[in-house]
Amino acid sequence: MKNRTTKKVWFAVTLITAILYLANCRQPTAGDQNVFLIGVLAPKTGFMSGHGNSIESGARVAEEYLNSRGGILGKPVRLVIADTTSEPAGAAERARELIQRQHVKLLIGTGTSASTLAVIPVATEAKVPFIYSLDGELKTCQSGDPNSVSHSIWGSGFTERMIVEPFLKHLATRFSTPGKPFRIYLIGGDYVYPRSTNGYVRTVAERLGYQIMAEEYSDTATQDYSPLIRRIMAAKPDLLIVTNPGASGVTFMRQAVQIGLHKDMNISGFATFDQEAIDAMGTASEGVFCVNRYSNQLTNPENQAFVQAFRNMFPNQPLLPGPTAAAGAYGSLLVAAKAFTLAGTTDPEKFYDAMGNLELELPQGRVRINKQNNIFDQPIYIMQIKNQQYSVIADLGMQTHPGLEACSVQ
Amino acid sequence: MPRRHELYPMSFTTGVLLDLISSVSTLLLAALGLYIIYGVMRTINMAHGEFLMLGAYTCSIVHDAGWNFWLSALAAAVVVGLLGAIVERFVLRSLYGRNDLSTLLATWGLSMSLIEGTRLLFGPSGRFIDPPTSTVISVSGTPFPLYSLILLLITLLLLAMILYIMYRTKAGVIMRAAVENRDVAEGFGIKVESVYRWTFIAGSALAGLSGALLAPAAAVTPQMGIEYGWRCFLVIITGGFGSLASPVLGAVIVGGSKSVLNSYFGITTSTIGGLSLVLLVLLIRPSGIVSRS
Repeated sequence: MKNRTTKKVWFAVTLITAILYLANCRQPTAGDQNVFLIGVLAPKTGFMSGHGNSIESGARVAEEYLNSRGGILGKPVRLVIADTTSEPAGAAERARELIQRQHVKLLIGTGTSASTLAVIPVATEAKVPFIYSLDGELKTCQSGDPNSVSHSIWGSGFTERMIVEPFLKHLATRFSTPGKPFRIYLIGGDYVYPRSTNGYVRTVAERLGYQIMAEEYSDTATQDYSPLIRRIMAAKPDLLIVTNPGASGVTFMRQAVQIGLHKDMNISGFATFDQEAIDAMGTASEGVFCVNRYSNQLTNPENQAFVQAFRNMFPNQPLLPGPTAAAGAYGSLLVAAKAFTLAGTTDPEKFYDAMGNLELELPQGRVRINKQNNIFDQPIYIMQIKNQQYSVIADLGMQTHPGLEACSVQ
Repeated sequence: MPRRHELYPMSFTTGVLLDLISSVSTLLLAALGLYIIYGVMRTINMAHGEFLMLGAYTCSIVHDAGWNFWLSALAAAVVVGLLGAIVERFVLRSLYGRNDLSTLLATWGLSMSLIEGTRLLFGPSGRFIDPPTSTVISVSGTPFPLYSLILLLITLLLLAMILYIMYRTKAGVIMRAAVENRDVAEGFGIKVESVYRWTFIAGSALAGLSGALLAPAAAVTPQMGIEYGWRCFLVIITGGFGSLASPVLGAVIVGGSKSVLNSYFGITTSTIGGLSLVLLVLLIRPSGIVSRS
């Protein structure tokens, strides 16, 4: 009996050791002096894992692209992927490991605003450039000094100030009833990004003379949205804005469609209808309006090359590529590579100087790094989801975040 | 902004009632398999939520292959039942008779393995499956998905079937004997381990079927079972283990309270209120509302 137990224990220990070894086999190490290490903070587990998978995929395409052109500063690029577990504590811990143990020269990622805010002080203290590659409120000011821009942090996605007003105006033009105020119902997940985005929507809407009928937030683990859906149906808004990224948005939409919410009103949202969520949302996303900086249907040569490279590398992924996460990660790395090349060094201050006003053609169009706030000025598009694809219905042109307005870094 | 109740017409109360019934029946459907397993075997299956998740995935995959929804749901029950047989044989059997912590830890590890295994095989983004009908019926002017009504009827049917098996069949007598007193049952020639095996398979199959039936209204992702799992545990703990009334009352308290509070006060308040009510019940009745003495 004792022998059987001992054998079982040894078997388990051997198995676990083998799994850990194999899991780390692919990861490059700090000892590799002849490679350019880049840390990718991707939520591979937890409620934002769909985005994490896309972040890694987009980064891998960029890695291959850069290496086919000689890498960065003459060294081949190697990504070190770290799972942030969709939690701020996990993100900060992984960032610390990437910087202290792997000595990465650059960080990109994460999957949520809260995780990004957790990583920012880590990257800033270590003076390692960090490009957060998802959309969200401005986070590039210096901690304790909201009027000064950080020298370590950049945002490659759009902020709410870049999209909300043109988006609302466009939808109001299409759907408001003459003589009546345009009525909007806001719902969202109960965390930083939805609250800050919807909060700004309310500010803009009230300034434009629209009516906010209600504003509600729910735990991201909510399974039963029926009471909320009934409140929305009873209110009969002209527009429902859903800011529920990830699985929670999927659950809401699937239940909403079952009760027939989509028949009674126009539905839109921020981050809820990203491509990563459409796989699980399915037909429940049909007809939804969204605003985004990227669609795989854009016809510029950079995007066509990116989509082709993505399909070659990941032929089994059914819907390609994720608009915000994959293209965002890809674009962030290309921009950073150009900046390192212009700087001629990995010195963080020289990198910061090189990033200022840098311009580059990316899959979403021409972007420009705004030296005032380190946010990528970029084209924004209004889209409608048809057959789970993003059809571009309006091009809002290049959008810019105003100064360092509404920075969420404390 | 207008106050919540100023927005709502008279049909709001009907809507609250319909949502209450739907919420209770959904939670009861999800918890039945767990109740049977713990009620008979005193085994805590921490992977119950993941069995639901695998049922949802199976249904989605089989449906995409061309089968109709109902056959896909049955296929999910079979597949997860088979998984239950494997888990019982290779994970749980050697742990019978030991304290609950062993099976808790073992099934917790299984839970994490199933989540990550599903993510590795199918990716993190998830799948979807449309309900077999998108018809919305009107109940006193309030819209109600026909599919929710069907789920309620299926839940009642399953309850009736379990009641029939437990109290009208030889298998049920054997099962109740094993629960009542394992040693005496064995003395009468009942193979209690065989009872446990088939109970676990049945509970797993129920979980798989539940997951399949709940999939059209959920995000079918590898993490889908986490939230369902702990809510099912709340139902079981609150309801107790006295009879089949236990999970019903547990679902009413856990699901019903949350639904009603959500209707009037919002989701966050309903979460706090619902959990507070569960705590209160357990303070008054630590073994659950309906428990054996």
